[in-house]
Amino acid sequence: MIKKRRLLLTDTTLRDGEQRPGTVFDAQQKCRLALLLDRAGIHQIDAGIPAMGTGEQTVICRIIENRVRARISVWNRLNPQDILASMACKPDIIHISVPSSYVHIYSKLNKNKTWLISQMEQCVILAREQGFTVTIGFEDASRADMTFLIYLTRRLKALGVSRVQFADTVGILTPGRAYDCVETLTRMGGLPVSFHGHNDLGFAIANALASASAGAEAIEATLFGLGERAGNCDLAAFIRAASPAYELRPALRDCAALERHAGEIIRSG
Amino acid sequence: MITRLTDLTLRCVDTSAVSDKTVQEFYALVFRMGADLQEVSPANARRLGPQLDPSRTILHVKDPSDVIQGFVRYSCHTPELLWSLPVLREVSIKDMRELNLLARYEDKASLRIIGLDDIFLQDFRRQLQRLQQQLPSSAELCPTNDCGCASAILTEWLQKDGGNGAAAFSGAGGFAPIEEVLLALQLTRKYQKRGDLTVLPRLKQLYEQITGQPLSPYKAVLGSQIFAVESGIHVDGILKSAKAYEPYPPELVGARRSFSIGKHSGRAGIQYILQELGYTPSVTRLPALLTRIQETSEQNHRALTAEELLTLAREAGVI
Repeated sequence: MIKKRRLLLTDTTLRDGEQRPGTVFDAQQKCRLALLLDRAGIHQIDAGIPAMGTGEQTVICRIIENRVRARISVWNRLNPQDILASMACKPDIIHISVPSSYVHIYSKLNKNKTWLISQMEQCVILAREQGFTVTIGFEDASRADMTFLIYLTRRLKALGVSRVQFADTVGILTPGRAYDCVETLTRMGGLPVSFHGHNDLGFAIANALASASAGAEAIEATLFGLGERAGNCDLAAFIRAASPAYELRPALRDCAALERHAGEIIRSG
Repeated sequence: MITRLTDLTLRCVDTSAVSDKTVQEFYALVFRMGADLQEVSPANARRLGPQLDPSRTILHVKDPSDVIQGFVRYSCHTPELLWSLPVLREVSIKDMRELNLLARYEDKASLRIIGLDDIFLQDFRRQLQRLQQQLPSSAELCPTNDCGCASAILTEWLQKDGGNGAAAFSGAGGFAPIEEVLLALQLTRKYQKRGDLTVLPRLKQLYEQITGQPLSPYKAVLGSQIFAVESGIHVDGILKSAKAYEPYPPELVGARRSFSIGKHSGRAGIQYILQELGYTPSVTRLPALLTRIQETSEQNHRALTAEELLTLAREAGVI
């Protein structure tokens, strides 16, 4: 029997999933969902955004205190104030989102690539100097210049970043392109790559599977595919689709119970 | 290269709950959406009346007694029963290892391959290439959606070298959702616009009447809430450039964007909505309002209504 490759799973229900309009988890729901995912064996939980304020920070700290095995990451904009708020929570991973397409850099941020690189390095150094594990999310990577992403990844490697995330922020990838992008970034960038996909075309699971076969180390997903617009890659649906080829935690046999309990927690609000 | 895309919805759904007029409108709009052919059950064929275009319609039959003469083609699992008619033979293949089974069919040009939803677990490009090599260009791929990947498989297949495919509205019958395939083909810009996707909201309405089941508000391409935005970072981005957080303009699929106010709202979104409601908000008081919005939204576990927003804005001295 061929040994299956281990594929890491990150759950971002508490951060990106909650961004679905009208979806609001209170502190107790967030802690219960985190514990449920942790017990089911999830590798990493994206617990939230400390920069949102003291309420969010308190919840994140409780999730960190209560966790058993999962690694807890927190999400940051490209902003030193965000990093400082995150460091106060003492998470396992500080994840920094770096807008990487030209529409994001020039139209949304109204900045340029030079500013972006300088700001990115400042934020990474700030967290790394305090000994934090840092991962970077390339926001809107699916519309970014691949050469630029490779360049950024190499600089991030030199700064001690652990992993970069290729984000299909607006969900426009097809599996063929997802494969090419993740394969190229993994091969040329020199860092492990994770994949974060949205379901705007209905391709989130297919793109995640294509990314995994292209060498992605981790896949990011949410419970019930919660998330902005048509949602994110659905965690349980991905596990069901990927289990024949990959070793996954949560395991396929635990998916039904995970969804049942998560549904109860979400409805309890 | 020209591809042929067949819609299977009226083969799969029971339309007995709605009027003939509803079925006829649905049939007409599916062609307008971009399907080249439609496949229908005998029961639904009878309901189409004068609207039925047999030159663009395949009749799906289970038994020779179902046959109605005059259709461009017929589909059947056992075409031997329909020996005198132009028949599409349906062959189910669970995984690529079964591909060799196709060798036993002499007339591969009239095959429709159903299944193959697990293709992304393997080297999918090689597998699709293998399939292409084994089949003449007139054969058709009809992936099933057990793994949620059918529309992606069909899109990859149609993008290659112009294979033919079959799908169904909103994934009816467990097939690929045709609207996802049509939109993806349009967005990849490799193909000319083949249909008018602004008919999708009306098609969705008719489909919901036919099935009696509402579609998820978050269903890709069709959901009523897929262009609703609340998160501060996304509202701010969209206000600066709609392209920043939208995969395609909502108008392309007959939809409209909307902003809501809730726990994840930011200052830019609140300011924008208050201005839309006809107020000139005080920018200096916005942070206090933002905190109140977050608290209220979390207490109520939902987004705020316009009235609730205005009440909080007045209390915070923003308007």
